[in-house]
Amino acid sequence: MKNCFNKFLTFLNKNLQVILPMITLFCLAGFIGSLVFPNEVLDTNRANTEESEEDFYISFLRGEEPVEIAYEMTTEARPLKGVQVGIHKNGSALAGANLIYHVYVKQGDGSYKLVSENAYDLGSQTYDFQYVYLPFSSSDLCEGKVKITFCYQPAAGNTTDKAPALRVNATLLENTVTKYIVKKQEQIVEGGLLISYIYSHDTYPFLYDFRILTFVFLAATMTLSYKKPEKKGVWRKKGGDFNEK
Amino acid sequence: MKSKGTVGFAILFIITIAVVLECVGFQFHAVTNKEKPLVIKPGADKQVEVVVQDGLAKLTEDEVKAIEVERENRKLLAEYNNEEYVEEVDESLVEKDGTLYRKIKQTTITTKLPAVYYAHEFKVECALLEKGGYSVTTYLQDKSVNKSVYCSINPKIGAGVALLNSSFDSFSVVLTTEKEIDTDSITISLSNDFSLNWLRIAIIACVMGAIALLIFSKKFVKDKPEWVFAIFAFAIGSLLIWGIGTNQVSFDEYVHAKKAYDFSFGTTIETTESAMQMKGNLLPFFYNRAERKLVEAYEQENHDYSWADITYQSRFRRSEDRVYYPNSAGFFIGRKLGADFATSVALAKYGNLLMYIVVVFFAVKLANKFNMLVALIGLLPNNLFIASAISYDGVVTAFLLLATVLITNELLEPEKKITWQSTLGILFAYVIGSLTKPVYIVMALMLVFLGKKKFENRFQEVVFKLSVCVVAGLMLYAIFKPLPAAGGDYQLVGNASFLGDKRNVGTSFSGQISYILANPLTYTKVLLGSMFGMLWDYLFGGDSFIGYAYLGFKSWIWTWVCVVVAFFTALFSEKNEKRKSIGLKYILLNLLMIFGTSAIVLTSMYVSYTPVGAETISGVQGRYFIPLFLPFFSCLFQDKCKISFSKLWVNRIGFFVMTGLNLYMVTDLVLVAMNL
Repeated sequence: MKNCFNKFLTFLNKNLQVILPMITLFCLAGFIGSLVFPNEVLDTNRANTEESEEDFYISFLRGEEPVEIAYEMTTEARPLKGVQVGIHKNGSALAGANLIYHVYVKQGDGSYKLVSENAYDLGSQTYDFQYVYLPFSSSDLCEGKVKITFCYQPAAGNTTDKAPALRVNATLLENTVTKYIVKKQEQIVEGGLLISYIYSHDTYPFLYDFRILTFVFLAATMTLSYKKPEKKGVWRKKGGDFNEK
Repeated sequence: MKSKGTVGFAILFIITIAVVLECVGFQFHAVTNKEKPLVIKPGADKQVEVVVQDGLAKLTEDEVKAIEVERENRKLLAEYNNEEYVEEVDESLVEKDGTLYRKIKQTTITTKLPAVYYAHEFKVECALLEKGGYSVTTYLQDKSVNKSVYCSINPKIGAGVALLNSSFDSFSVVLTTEKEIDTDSITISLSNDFSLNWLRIAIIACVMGAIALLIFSKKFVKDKPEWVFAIFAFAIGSLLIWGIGTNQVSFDEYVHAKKAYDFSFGTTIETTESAMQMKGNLLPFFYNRAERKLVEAYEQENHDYSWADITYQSRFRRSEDRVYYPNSAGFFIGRKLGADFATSVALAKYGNLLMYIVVVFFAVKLANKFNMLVALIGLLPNNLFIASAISYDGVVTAFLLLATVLITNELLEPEKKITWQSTLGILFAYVIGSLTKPVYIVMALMLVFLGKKKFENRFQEVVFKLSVCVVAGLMLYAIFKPLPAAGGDYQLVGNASFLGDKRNVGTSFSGQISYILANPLTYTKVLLGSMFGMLWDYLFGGDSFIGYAYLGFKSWIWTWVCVVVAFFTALFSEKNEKRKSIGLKYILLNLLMIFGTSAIVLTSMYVSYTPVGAETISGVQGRYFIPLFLPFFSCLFQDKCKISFSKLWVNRIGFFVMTGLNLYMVTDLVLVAMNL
């Protein structure tokens, strides 16, 4: 063991002039790589998550009529990646049923343009009531004044399941509106959806380390001697004397 | 010590003597007074008189400050959320003549005992929802035995134990609570049990062991100070860890505990109720061994992972958080071993202590001619305490000490070429030591002033020095432009208008910088006034330096004792020893670096912790200057002051003073304050 360690040290000492610059270059590559390939992370902005006993639910069925729930808001100065809302399954398994959600962005002329259409598998929800993350497929376009609509798509042929519902509380957030639409009739809700906005930003996990290590190893590299070892019986320099040593 | 057998026998002998001393000297009350435990239920016993009255209790300064800070932070949060700030009114508070009082209920319980009773412990149990307390006065033949003793009751453990150690035949208890309590829930117990105090036994054993080591191990003390340091640091650190238990008494320990605990998990954090309370600085506090048992039982009952809170974190953490590795390793091992809560906390502290001992061990070993000075700094009570707590400051102190030793070695050998090992050692130690407090990286700039003889050629010298400057620059740059990390506070952290320490009212990062730029002369006066004012206070009794954080500080005389020992060790050497000076150039540069680093430390506190435009700098503590001690004392190295006695005696005096001081502080602040 000691012998192996000594051999390793000898190898290290003999090849330091190569090893240290190589480590420096590796750190430099890591530094550049960390800058070029950042790691995207999601930020949860808890817009309205305060629960209370006065909270209520808007069901996706009113009698036999399907209900569409709409939520209007203004994003931060960056695209909205998705939202997290509280879904209650009313005790049903909802296997094969989906929550369809669309995102519309308000245009200059006041009209809304569809930018994202997605479905969430309600059968995959573990708990009867759960806050679920609903990501947007074309999230880069979801910026500015947006309207998100939710509607329920039951499993084909299943008539026994109860319709799910979204949880709402009495909080009225600025620049937001919660509505439900039955038979094309819009009704504004006196309150708001319990909702979190999901944004994203880039992080650079190894940038700090690599940029410091690059210069630490560069400094260490500068302490090595790069002189060629003197040899016996050779001309030391052009036009010089023959070295007898 | 001659052989392992002798060492083993000596240890056994010391422990036996310590146990005998404990039995004879400190358990005397239980041997001579053999009363059985007595339980009184005021609600059920008609002999006991109970009277309930209304009252007012003045709020302490800390309570008033906490209310102000809470109010200020709510205002900021409302501003950040674009909401209107509405002040919440606390119904339990009353303001009279500008002073805040809390409405309270006082329940007075008076009873006569069947016979004279000698009580060691006096325990009051009752069901409370808020914090409460009681004061007990004892009487013998209707004469007061001693002044009333106050004891707090934490609702989490539902009891408070006072140590009376007196004989009496009646007593009166005044229970102070926020709301009226059900007298049926009150139980008063008196006891006088024989119970060995193992912490006291350990302290007695450590005192005797330290004396034996310094007297009998001459060669060891003289030639291996790094090993003596390691033994003493481990012993004192263990006494601190064991004695303090889960009481959170280090600087902002709950903040560090949160990060270290979370860091011990991967991406999914399981926070038990006890861990949650540790993170929020809400764990019940104990003041004696009886309360400690109740607290640890409560913590263990709530340390159940089956109903732990589940949260998530990014797999990539901030680089700065890596300083929590030693603490986190302890939490991780504790969890894997299935250890109870108190043991897990102790293991987390041991992680820090062992890291500290290993790094300072090498610092002492590498400091050839000034190793005793380094050992003394390593044994400074402030350093040992912080190394035995959940904190990153142990990493900061240990690595900066190692870096300073390596750089001092280079300054002492101006002709010798700097090696790659030394360069990596210095820079790594400075970088690790400055990860969380980047201002200290300024100390590494001493490398820029190394002479040209230390390098192979001019080009290598220039690139080396530029690299050092870039390393320092990048670390300082990260203060003003931190790299974004994962988490929901991204927008808040990135917004300079909300930067500033939220523990103090009126702070603003950008506001304070604007103030300094607008009033440079005024700020220079504030800075120099604070700098020299602090120095004056620490040296001439205005403030105490030597201390164990929130446990308390010792008289400024002890500061002088440490200063004198350090001066003596730095200045004098034995006749046969040849010492080198770092030279006038490096003395001046060292002093300049010390002044510059101090100014930056003070300025950072002015910007982040002090209200905008204040005329003094808040939050600066003496321990922030500990990394500058070695550079300062290295200016005294020379070969002219010689002493006639040997290095053995220099080391003996140094170790005796520092170990004695630590053991005295452990006894006074840990044993007497919370483990009797």
